[in-house]
Amino acid sequence: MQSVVPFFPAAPVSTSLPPRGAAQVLAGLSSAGATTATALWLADRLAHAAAASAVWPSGFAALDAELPGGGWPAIGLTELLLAAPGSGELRLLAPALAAQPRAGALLWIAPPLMPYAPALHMLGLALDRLVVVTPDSLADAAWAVEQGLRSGACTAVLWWQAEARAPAASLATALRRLHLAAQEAGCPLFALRPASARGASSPAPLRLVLEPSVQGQLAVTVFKRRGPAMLQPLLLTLPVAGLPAGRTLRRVPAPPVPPAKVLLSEPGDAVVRAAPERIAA
Amino acid sequence: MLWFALHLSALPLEALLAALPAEPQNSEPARCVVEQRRVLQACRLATAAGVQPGMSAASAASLLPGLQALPRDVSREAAFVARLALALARYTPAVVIEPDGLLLEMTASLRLFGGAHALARALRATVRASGVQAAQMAVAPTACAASLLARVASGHSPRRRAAAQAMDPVAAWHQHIRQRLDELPLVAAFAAWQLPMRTAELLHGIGCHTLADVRALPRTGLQRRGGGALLECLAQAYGEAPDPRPWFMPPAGFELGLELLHRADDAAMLVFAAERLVQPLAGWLAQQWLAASRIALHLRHETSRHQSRPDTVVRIGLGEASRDAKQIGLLLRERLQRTALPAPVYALTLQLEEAVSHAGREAALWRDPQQSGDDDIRGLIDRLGARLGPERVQRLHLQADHRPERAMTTAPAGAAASNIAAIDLPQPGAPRPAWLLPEPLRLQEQAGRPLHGGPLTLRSRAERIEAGWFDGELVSRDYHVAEGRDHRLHWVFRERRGAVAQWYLHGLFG
Repeated sequence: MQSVVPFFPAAPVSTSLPPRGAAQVLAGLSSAGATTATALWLADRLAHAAAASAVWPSGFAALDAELPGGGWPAIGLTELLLAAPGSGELRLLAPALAAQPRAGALLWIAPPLMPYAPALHMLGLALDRLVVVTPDSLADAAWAVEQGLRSGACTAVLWWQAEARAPAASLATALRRLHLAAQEAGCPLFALRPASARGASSPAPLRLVLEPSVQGQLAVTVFKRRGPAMLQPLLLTLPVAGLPAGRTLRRVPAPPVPPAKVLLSEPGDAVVRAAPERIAA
Repeated sequence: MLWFALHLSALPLEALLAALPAEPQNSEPARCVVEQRRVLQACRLATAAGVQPGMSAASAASLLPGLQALPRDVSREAAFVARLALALARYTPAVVIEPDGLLLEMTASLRLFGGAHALARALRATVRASGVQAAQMAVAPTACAASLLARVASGHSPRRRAAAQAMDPVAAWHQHIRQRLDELPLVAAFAAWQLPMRTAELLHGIGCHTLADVRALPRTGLQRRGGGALLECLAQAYGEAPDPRPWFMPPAGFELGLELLHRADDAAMLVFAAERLVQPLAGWLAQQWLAASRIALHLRHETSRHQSRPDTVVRIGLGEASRDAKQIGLLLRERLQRTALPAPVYALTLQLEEAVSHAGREAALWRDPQQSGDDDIRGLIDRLGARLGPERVQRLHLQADHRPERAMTTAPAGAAASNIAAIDLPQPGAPRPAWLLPEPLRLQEQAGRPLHGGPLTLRSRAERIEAGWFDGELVSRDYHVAEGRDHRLHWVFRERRGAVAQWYLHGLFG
């Protein structure tokens, strides 16, 4: 089955050729050396990654095609904007995080709710590497992010930033500082921010909006990237923890109201009667 | 024998400065130490203003009106030297305490620390970290010579004579030290050994200006004319007479106090003083082959007749036992900056509450990335816990229970790693949400459909979970995945117990 609905039938990027003069310049550049070509970013094309290790494949081929370098930046700040927690942010990031070698810690700072370990385990995340920090204030959270980045002990840092109570200017300063810290440490920082932050300026080179869509899909709009503007959101089908691959969610009729008094006939047979075969295929 | 001598030339001043709560930057006043109404030592600011040692306290105060005159405190100086001896005990067990310095016998430590030069560098770093700015170091084959050279001939080290280079390096070095001793001025040696100056004047009068001149004199005559003590000191310095010294014995347990010169109202002011205690702790731990796993800093408040306040105790547990002064100091600093003081503090005591034996780590040819990564993570967790509180830095653990809210526990990440992570749950084949609400949220119902920001549409058939009869917390629920109006996926259940089936929201698919 088709898991991803691309918004262009063919790859939209490679078809748009630069005008003739630019093509000659480009040809000259490619002969000048690979380093120049990768360091140079033409605004109507997606930027290259400086090195293959500088990106993490996201696990979604259609999304990789839209991200500069072909994956999540493995260094520096990336912003994911969502209207409310539970929009699909963890399922989107989980494949990339699970694919990383399990040497460093996975630091989650100020998550909106307690992450549920069984689901994370099913998504492939290493629980023994996961450290959840719940600071009191925004200042403490920013401090914890910086400590995590500078320690060099983290594979990735995820920071949930709740409603922007702090003044926008100081927040932008903090983000710039953390972006620099992440670049120095060579560590990715994913900031999960409210959708209202879309209008605010940010030092992050890559910014996305996540909106849940029908049938458990996620509409991803990359609205800031080193590349041409993205015109339509990309629809991704995300894995649901615990559901076998290939199963999707569909509408089921509301169950009948059970009889008023349902109790176990015998205490001894209290078991889980999960019926996976009855989950809609 | 290889003796390292440390001479603390600014000891009276530095011993007092170590006991001062930190002042905000740029407001450091000029200070001097006064003994019998004469200036003994002046800090850099005071010296720049013209305050000289030997000046009367009154004229110093007239030169610099804001000058803080601190009376000399010999007991603090002794405590300061003892703290430094503890801090340096990590390099050698053979430490000798002198009134204004230390002697360390290092022959046995050369190989471990990579030679005399590396050892001297390490010593200097530790000395500086202990709060000593002015320290002169000298190395000599005898304790007396090292001590004398550190006092007198510090700073300049003349080149070895070219002729000596053909010899055995040790013999050449001995000869070099002997030559340096020969050239020392006699008056300086008398001052360092605290011999009567009358004899020095007498010898000066007959044309003896250096130690070599004195050694050329007939011994019997010199002995008869009151130079007996000098001859003994000279023999010890040149290695011709035994020079027994009492070794410094470190205490059996670690508890080190520091009384402040004046009160500290703010815990952040104590950071500087607390760090003075960390270097001795690290040195003591290394000397005893231990590593700290829990330390406590007792902050003593003033007790008056009307009320006595109990000490404020700042306890720090280390995720992994450590004797790294830098790490312990960092944790202390973070904790102190977050501590609110109920009353001004007058003294602090650092106490080692729990230690584990730790023989050090064998050096690896290549750095093991897994091991060092784990150490980094533990250090990070300690640091975060020290500032935010250990309960705010958590790890998640799976538990073998079918009730969703009990399938997971959280534990402080700094706690010792338990074995509950080893549970391998079977994949239940049923959806589980990435976010779980702390308590199930009761939902209103409309036409048989739960409501949460609009009616929810069920997207999966029921997963029935019935468990908990064994501990009296029975759950009997039908779980569904439900899609909200904003297309977010919710994890809802219908409670099957009770008179009316009731919908609850239990999680969100993140």
